[in-house]
Amino acid sequence: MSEFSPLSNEIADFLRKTGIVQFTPIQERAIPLLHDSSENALLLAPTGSGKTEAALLPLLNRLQRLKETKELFGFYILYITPLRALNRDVFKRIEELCEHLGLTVAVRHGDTTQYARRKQAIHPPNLLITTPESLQAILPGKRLKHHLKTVFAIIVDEIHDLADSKRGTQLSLGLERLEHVIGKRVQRIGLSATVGNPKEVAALLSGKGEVKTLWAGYDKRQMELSVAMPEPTDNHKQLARKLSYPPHSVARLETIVNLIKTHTSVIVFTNTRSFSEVLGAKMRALKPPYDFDVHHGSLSRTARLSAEDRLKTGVSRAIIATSSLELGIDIGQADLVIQYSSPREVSRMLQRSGRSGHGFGRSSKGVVIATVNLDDITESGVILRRARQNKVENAKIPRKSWDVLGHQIAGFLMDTDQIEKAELLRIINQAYPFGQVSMSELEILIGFLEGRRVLETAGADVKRAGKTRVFYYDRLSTIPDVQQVNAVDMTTRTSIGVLDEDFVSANVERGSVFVFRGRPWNVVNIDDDTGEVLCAPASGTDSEAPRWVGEMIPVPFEVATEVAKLWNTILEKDSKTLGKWLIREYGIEVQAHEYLRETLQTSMDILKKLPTEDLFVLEDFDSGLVLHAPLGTKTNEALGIVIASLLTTRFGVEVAVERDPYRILFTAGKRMDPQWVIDVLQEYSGPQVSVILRLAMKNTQNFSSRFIQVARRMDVIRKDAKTKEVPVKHLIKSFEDSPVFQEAMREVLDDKMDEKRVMDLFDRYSKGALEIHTVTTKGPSPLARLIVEEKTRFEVMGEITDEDEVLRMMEERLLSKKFRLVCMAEGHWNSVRTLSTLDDVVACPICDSRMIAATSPTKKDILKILTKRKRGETLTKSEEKEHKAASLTAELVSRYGKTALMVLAGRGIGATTAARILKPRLKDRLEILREIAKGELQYERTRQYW
Amino acid sequence: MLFPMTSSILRTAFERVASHISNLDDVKSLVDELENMDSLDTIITELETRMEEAEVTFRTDIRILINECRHIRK
Repeated sequence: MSEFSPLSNEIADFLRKTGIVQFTPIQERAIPLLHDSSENALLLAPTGSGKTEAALLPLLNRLQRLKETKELFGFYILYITPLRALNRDVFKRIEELCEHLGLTVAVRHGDTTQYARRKQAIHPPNLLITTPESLQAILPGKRLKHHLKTVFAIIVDEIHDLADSKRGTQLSLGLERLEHVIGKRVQRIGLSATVGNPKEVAALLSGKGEVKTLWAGYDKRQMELSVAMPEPTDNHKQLARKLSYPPHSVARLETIVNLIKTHTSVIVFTNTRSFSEVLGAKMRALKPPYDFDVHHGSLSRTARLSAEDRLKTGVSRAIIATSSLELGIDIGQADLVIQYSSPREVSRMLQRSGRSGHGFGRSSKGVVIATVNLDDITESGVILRRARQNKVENAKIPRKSWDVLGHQIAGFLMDTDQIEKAELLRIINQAYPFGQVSMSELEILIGFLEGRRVLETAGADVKRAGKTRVFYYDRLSTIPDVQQVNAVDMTTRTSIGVLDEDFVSANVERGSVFVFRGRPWNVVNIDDDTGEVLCAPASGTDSEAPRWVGEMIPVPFEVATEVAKLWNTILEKDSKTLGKWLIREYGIEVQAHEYLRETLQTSMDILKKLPTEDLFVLEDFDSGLVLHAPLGTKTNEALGIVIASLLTTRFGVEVAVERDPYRILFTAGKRMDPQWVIDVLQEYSGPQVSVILRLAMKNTQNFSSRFIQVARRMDVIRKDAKTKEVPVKHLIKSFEDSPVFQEAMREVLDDKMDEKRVMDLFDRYSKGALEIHTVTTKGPSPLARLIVEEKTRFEVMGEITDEDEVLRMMEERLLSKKFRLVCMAEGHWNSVRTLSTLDDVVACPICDSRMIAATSPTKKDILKILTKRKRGETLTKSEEKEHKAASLTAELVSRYGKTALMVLAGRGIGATTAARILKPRLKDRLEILREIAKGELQYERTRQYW
Repeated sequence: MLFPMTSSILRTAFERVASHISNLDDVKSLVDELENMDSLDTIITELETRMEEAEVTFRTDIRILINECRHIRK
């Protein structure tokens, strides 16, 4: 018996020829099973352990046997992946073997040419590699439908990625439709490396059919993971000035560059596309001794393919990427993966670190470069630990998505023209996400679709209508439709990539500079008709990276609660053993230990208790309340909204709410009594909270934009309608209680919130199972500062900390500015001072007057002008102007002290602009800095007109 | 179930695949023409001969028809 038994000799010979000597663990288990039976199966094994072959080899073996008995004509195996790039990869991996066995294989997806499609209709490949959306396009095709009749197996690769979104929901119904069209059962095989809830994912794959789940290879997986927190040296500070980049970021950048230098092939993952651009631009400015590229979903296909190829062939040494490179695209042998800032989810960490040492028996090596931020470091450590234990998050499968069901009903009518409602419901109920749909719910949806003329009803039957076809083909994809515009390089007239319409309308105008593909570009013009952004390469380092929406990755509940547990344990541990424990258990390197212990100890001293899952700390500091509740992004999002809306309605104060995975910040125009929050938690029950949440959500921007997306998918508004032209409020009102409204609400609540946990939390508090410790502090504690000073941290991930660091660096620059300070009252004090040496209150050392004028150190005449005015002499026009400006600055300094001088130190910010920026409410340091940055930007944009 | 007669195998096959056929009229007249041949093997051989000279989409139509005939016979 051969080592590759039960596979045929031809397959075994081929494997030997390609250097394969034995099966991997998953292949050992899966091949005998799939070889003989047509059972459904879910194969779970780490990245790079040969899952594709584990599923395909036995099926190809079966197909080869079939070929001996009859001539093959039609599709026999469908291989579905979530990405086009993955399709190409699977094709390359399997092409030679198929050729060796005399079988045909082809790829079909959005990029497939008309010629190739036609060829497939004439000579159907035996193995078709495609995407879920292309399957939707194939299903009703006249010729292709016939070719599908021979299909005996479907493989769904990276099924966890589809399971989490409507793509998976659509596919599950698509598979039911396929079986309905061809009139027989098809074997379904799912593949994944990271699934937290295999039972549910198996149900998504097979509907009501049985599934055999096979795990293999996790125990043999070797991972070398660590969390580093680079700190800046004097060298970095110097370099920081040169690069216009904060010293902490420079320290991290240099660590990355050094790691790339000492490895042969490195992938650097960032959490956002925009940050990958920033990092690329800064790395290029350092002129490293190696080639590298930037890779993300908004780049053109050619740019992405070239970046992948350059890394694979060794031309480049590194690639800076986002999730675009996460799924199994083969980019050769990366020997290190760097993750910039916490990956926020365990599955992400595993997917990403699995990209190094890709292949069975090799160890994967990953380093998380954490920012100097308690949340970031401990979160990275916890995720690392959970990754080692393979504690992956559950895929959240959307249930009863009315837009998907509406589209699939149109699909059924494309397949069969007419179908009985009861039969339709029977098939729909086979698919796991729609297993609970009732006849009355189906009737409502059918009624809605009939109203849109997508279908017609005739007694107990549903029939195809005039709009069915257009409705179906126009909406094959469930991926949210964010309008995008093309960015074109003027000099070469080639596309450099696509930008989100939102980003363009908010940030891009003629003359502005942004970073794309790691290079700065100058906007030359924006075409009014096409929306195309014409760009030319720009020089310089001060530029804005484009922001893409929908990039926030939520931190799961399990991670957040474990992070809080870690905080408490760090303080409980003996300091002698703490260091070793942090390294061993959490991979947190030694540079971060002291910082962690100090920050936590100071917080404990101030708060007296640190939060846990069952003990929240309610901190009342001068200008707001912070509820320290380590429950993760989704729970805190919902909890924040519920408490804030109840505070607003019950106490009549407009409450603003910010949240991160560990705490919620409430601010209002007046002081809030912490007891109010406790009352709210005490007095409402879980079911009441659910109603409040829905009422509050209805008026949010988030709901409006979801509503528009769903309305587009359900034919309420035109697909190409511009967001700003849609009367959203009116539409929401007229479609209240319709399937569109329900679906938009379900989407918002499912994707952004954890309604159930918040309901439980209110019930738990009433029962006394949850404790709240209230504490009043003089200013925000270090834990509260993480949200008070870094409000934007979780809005634009990745840049977050960097935005603050940019501001910190700007502050350094402002504080080094020199002013000539003159006493306006007596004119007897005239001195040039550096801002950093001054106290918060600026007063004349002689007469203690606070009317101190601030001008440029070169303006030595100011005192003469003052004296002239005092004597009652007439001033010249320019003297008059200078005197006026000096008086205005003196007024600002007397009211706002040193803060006024900080603002005046901003580039191009004169007394008038400063007066506009300075408001009595403006207290928060970062908020002031942000305002100064805005003022400077405004000046840069308009200076040509000055 | 009774085994269908040769001629009706061709007709049944045609009826089953008609919705997938591009050149419906051409295939229909082909079926009319060949329906009275002696055996299914002769019909299939004849269809294969016609396939060689046929235009590419018509060729696939014939191929689909042959496949269905074989399927019914099995």
